[in-house]
Order: sequence, then C-alpha cells, then structure tokens
Amino acid sequence: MSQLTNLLLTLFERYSQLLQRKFSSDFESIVLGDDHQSMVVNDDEEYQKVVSVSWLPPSGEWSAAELSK
Amino acid sequence: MERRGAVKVSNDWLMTGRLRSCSKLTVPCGLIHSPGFPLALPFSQTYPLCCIDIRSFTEQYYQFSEGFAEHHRDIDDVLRKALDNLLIKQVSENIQRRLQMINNLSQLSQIVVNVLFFQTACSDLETLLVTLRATQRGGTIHLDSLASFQQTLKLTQDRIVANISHKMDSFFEEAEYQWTISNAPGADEASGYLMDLIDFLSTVMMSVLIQLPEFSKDYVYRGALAHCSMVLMSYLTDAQPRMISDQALAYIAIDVRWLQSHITNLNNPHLADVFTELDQVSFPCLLHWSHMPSLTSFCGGRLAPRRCAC
Repeated sequence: MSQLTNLLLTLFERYSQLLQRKFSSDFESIVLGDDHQSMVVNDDEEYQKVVSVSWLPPSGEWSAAELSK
Repeated sequence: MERRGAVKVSNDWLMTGRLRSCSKLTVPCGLIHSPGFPLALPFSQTYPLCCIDIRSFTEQYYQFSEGFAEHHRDIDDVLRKALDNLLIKQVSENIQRRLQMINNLSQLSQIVVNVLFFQTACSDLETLLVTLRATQRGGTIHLDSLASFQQTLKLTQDRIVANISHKMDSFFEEAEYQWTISNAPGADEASGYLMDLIDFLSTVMMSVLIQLPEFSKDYVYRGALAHCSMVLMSYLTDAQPRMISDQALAYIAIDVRWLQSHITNLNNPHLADVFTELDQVSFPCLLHWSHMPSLTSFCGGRLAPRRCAC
C-alpha cells in the first residue's frame, strides 16, 4: 500500500511539474501579449463570461454591481 | 461606463474553450446584471485571461489528487506554492519587466488598474484555497504574490512619475531666470514656463490618467509636484548657479508663492505640503529682500548644498 502511495506521490510531483511548466508559458504569453488597453465586451454573453471568471472587488466602482450599471 | 479610445478586443479567447471545466470555481451568472453595450471594462484582457488560467490550474491540481485524501495536506501546500510561484514569476515580474519598455502614460495607468485587480484576485484566492482544500483544517492561507503585486504597483506608479518628471524637465529648460539681475520684479506674476508646466500637469492628470483610482492619482500628482519642488530647490542649493542676486531670488520666491497658492486651490490634503519646505526657504526673500541681509550673503554667496538652514 505504501509503495502505491509513494508511486502516486511521485506521479503527482511529476504531474505538478508538467502543469506548472504548461501554465508558466501560458501566463507569460498572456502578460507579454497584453495590449494595455481597456477590454471591450460587445454583448451580454461576453460580459457574463468575463465577469463570471474574473475576481472583482466586493464594493466600489469596480465591483460587479457597479460595472453592470 | 464606456471610455473613449478603448479598443475592441476579439472575443476569440472566449470561444476557444478556455472557460472549459471551470464551472465549480466561477461566479453563478444569475447574480450578475447586464449593462449597456459595447462596454469598456476597467482592466485589459490580461486580467480575465489570467483569472481563467488560475482557476483552470487549481482545478487540474485537485482533479489529480482526488483519491488519496491522506496526502491532501501536502497537495494543498504544493498547490499554494505553485500558484504563488506562477503569480510572482510569470505575472507580477513579467509586468515589471515590461514596464521598462513602456513610455505611454495611458498604457502605464492601465497596468496600475490591472495590478490592483490582481491584488483583489490574490485576496480572493486566499479565501478560495481555504474552501477548496481537501483537509478541513483551520487557519488561513497566505499568498506571497500579494506583496509582489504591491511592489509592482509601486514600480508602475513610480514609472509614471518618472515619465511625467522627464517631460516637466523640458519646461524647466525653457526657464529664463537671470541669476544676477539687479531689477526687482515689477509684478507678482509667476514665470510663463511654470504656468505652462502646471497646465501640462493638470491636463495629464485629468485626461490620460483619469482611469487611475484617487489614491493612485494622488501618489502620481504628489510625485510630479515633488519633482517640480526639487528642481526649484536645486537652483537654491546646488553648485550652479554660483551666484544669485537678491532680486533673482525674489523672482523664484514669487514663482513658489504662485505654486503654493495653486496647490491650496486644489484643496487636496495629500498635496497640501508638497511645496512647504521650498516656500519656507524662498518666502523670506520676497518679504524683505530689499531690507534684510539676503539669503545669499548669509550663506557666503550661495545657499549651502542641500537644505540650507537660513
């Protein structure tokens, strides 16, 4: 059983490394490819998708409640 | 809220499956009301794209770990460290590196806004990681990336100040103080170059930097005005000019008075004291320049380097 656990942990470590490598290049290309201009959404579908994935402050002009006004 | 100059962004990324399998980690859409379109959001596309990747990364971590719960404590820690590392090395520090190549004030202020959103994300992630963690032990999770984004915010704001200061220097090149003039100022009017400089600064603050939040605007405004104060002070304390007549000092004192009254009119407590030291040094020259021993004679021809005690 402990051999299986060790194998799983080794696999997990390997998986973790691969995941980090993949996301490292993803994050880097996103940041280096930014146009540094306000993102514009054209319809409700785009808006809902962006707001549902993005962490927004709970209050103030950048909160979901204020952005939607 | 729609801003001019905002760029229409292709929504390809929305359709490319980046949103796949993030359902457990996203906000229920029913909670969000719909605004008018097209709508310019405060952040650029980097922010939602990174948020999607963070959610996806987190989810893929826990997908693998389902099944061997006894080691979840390790997995929670590995995930936290991995996320921290990605946010610091790939997001925050890459933003810092890009700063060196950007001179456009509007783009720099967009970076300030983005970084503030990343700070929000870090705080929310700390909470999210607690709720997602497999072993329901107590305690909070701390991400070091928050401090890294705070550093990036400061560097970006300083970059904006340096950029504006560089432009202000070209106004100072137009200054035509005659350091050994013997005629007293005829009127209390400030120098033309200085009025132009303040007009320029006011315009920048109200136009290209309009999207900055107030605390950030105050930081930049204060930094730019402090640069103005530093240059004027350098006329009084640096090795050059070697000689300044009492009358020339009075011209500078009038300029400083005008700056001081301009700041008073702005009625912003964060800016109120930015010219105080300079005013205290130069004002006596204006009051009694023709009757009192001058600052220059007090200090043996010119003010002592740095912060003359006169």
